[in-house]
Amino acid sequence: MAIFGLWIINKAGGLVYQRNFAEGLAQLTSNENLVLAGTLHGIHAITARLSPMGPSSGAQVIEGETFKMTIFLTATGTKFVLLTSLNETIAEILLQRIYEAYADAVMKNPFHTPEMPIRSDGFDTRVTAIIGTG
Amino acid sequence: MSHHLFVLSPSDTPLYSLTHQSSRPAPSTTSPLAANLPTWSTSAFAGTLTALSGASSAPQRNNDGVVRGGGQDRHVIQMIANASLDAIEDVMRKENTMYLKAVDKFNEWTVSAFITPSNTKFLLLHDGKNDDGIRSFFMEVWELYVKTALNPFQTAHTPIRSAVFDGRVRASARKYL
Amino acid sequence: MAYSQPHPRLSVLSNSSHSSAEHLSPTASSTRFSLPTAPSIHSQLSTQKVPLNRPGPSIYDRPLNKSRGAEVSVSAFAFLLSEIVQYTQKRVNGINDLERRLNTLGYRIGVRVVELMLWRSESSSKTPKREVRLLPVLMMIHSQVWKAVFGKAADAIEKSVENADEYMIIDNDPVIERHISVPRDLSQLSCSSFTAGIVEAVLDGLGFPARVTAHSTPLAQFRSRTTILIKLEKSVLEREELFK
Repeated sequence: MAIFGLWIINKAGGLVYQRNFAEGLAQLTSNENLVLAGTLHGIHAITARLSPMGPSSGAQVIEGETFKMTIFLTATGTKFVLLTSLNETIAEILLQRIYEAYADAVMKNPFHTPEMPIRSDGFDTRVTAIIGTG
Repeated sequence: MSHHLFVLSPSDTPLYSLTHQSSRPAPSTTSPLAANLPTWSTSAFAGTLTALSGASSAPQRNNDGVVRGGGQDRHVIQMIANASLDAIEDVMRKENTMYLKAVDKFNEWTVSAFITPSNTKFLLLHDGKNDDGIRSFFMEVWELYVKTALNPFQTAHTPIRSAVFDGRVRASARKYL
Repeated sequence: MAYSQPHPRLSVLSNSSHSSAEHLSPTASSTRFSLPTAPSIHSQLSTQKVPLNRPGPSIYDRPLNKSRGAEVSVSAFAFLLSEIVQYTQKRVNGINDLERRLNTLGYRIGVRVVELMLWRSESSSKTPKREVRLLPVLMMIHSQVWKAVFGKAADAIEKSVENADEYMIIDNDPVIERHISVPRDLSQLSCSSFTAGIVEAVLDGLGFPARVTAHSTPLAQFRSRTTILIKLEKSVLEREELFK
């Protein structure tokens, strides 16, 4: 069981937070990460539109052969994406807790501008406490 | 018996004032002017003060029916209230009670005061003795003042113009004074 | 609560087709922060069946000592404070100016805090007291004022070794700073200047004029530990001497 990384994607598809916790995935430059986050934003929109079940919140888990990405969509369109090994079972719970930390340490911080990259020591500390330094 | 209430800001600007004529009987004894003058009134200002306060302490009505003399003039009342501030500031540095009873005297007037925690002062000029009534009156005015101060548009230096405040203070004055 | 039309703020946020540039443009932000438009006010009132001409109960009709169930959510406060800091930051030049403005805002709170807090504790007494000695006042700020405002006492109160006119109140985890991460380029800033303003107002009201400032003094286990520094005016110390 391993947690590889966390992405937070704003509602316009921009990557506003990215952090690696463990080795196991290809090392990417920050520019590559930005492009991938934008792509995921598009794929997510496609899954939401194609759903035959009416309004859908879009893809929740995307699995590969060696890893999976768990996607959590908030009511305001922000996406939290956790990259983990396939056998990781608590990804949803972790995302909930990260969302809680985000609501506290990011949204209540007067020095954060909504939709802009997250630079908050308080949030870093909270995420570290939830996931571990890795 | 008549009463004059002044609410003063921490910088001693008047925020509210009220004159209340009590239906209770006036005190029978009125001491001569000179006997009641505080010691400092022998200073250079004493002459002016005596002139201002009127030679006799008995009120006289002029043709318009306006009360004259006897320290009943508005400006004299205000002057007595202002003059008592020095005495109050002296006492409130040492005494830890909010209600300062009979803190100053001038002619027939006694000045009682109440200092709120944020240093707003209630001054009451009265010509009778009614310690418990005055204390109850001050306590009610304090409660009304706290409620007024909680208004975000009220600062420690804005005059109180609330009609409800005025009405409640008047009702309280009728009840206790 | 049903609005006949979406609330302007919500409608802007939920419509993801807007580009982020539009959110930041002055026209968009003016709708975000303006009051709800008149129609939505009317629909709100009519759904609640409140007659338009009847005002609610006046503050003069409500008891002042009913504090149970009247607590404010820490989250609501954090959001409000966050907006206050952002609003203030747009209108100042530099950190000192920002701290001074936060202090002024806190002062306005403090005036009301001291008045209301002492009314609650003293109004039932036959001889209500206002403290005239320095140390009891400082202890009162450390415990009672902190409890009234933040729901807990401060962690320590210290007298400066070097300066006789300086006292410090220390809070290891100030409620004000709980969700605030100050960026590095503003590292000198302490948002507890707001608290400093409250303390200054309490001291001023009780007749102890002082200059009160806030300083971030983090420890490894308390990252947002804050020291409120009280520098008393000379007259206060002279008066204290007279009591001895």
